[in-house]
Amino acid sequence: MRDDDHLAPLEGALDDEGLLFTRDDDAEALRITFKSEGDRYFVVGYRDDPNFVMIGSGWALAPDIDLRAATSLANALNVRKKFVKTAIWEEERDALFTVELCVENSEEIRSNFGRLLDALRDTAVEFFATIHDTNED
Amino acid sequence: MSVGGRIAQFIENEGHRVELSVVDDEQQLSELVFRTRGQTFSVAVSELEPNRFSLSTAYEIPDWVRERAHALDVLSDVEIEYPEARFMLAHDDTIFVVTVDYQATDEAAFIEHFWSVVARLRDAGTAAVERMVDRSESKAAADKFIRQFMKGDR
Repeated sequence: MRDDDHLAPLEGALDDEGLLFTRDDDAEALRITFKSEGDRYFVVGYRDDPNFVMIGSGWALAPDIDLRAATSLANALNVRKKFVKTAIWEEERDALFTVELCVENSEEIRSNFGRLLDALRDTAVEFFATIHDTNED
Repeated sequence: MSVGGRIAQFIENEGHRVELSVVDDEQQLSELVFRTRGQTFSVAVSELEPNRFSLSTAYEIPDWVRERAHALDVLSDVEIEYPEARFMLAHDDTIFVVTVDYQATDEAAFIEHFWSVVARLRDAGTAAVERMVDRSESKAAADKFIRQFMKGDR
């Protein structure tokens, strides 16, 4: 483990969860990518900001999903949800679900990592269930 | 590659570490163990019956509700709600195991429904734990008894 690898404790969290992962670091950012139940997730940290950690998942929006409805739903979820921020990237037609944290050491996240993953997963499930219902109406 | 090996490969491709072990050489029975959402699950696969799979997971019974009769009552109630699930007390009634036997048309069908079977198993197990912890029903039974008792003649 390198001194500047402040995401290393999260590899332990992924081990605790029984999940496989890969690292994809570069000069500026530290990245961990992994899957859980087939869905893709990532963890990102920045070398110049070792207190910041982002855990997230990104999903492409199907062509039939109305972007205004998606943005409105994202706002509604952001008002209500703990931890998870939902963002719509209009140009990319992506929905991004992230948890952004400020920690002294990412070891602090380890014991709550499963809960944060559940929060991300549940928010994405709720977003897509609601947006598909909206589309059908 | 064996059926067990292919299922293990599928689970790994979905992002999860898998331990594959042979349980019974004669029956060509193997067990795959993996974790998801903080819970350990196992899949039993027999090469002799390649379309039949058993998924199981175990839950600890909180020690303050560890009463065999109560646990059995709860498990049989929850079995009615989840008819595909079988419950069994184990380890001196300190845990219960919930199992779903899945007969697939083929391996691909099992893989297609894999995570929904896991979710169903988790729902059944969680429902049982919640029901064990929730004593409001036994309180309701006591209230009923008291009401009937108070109606007695003198």
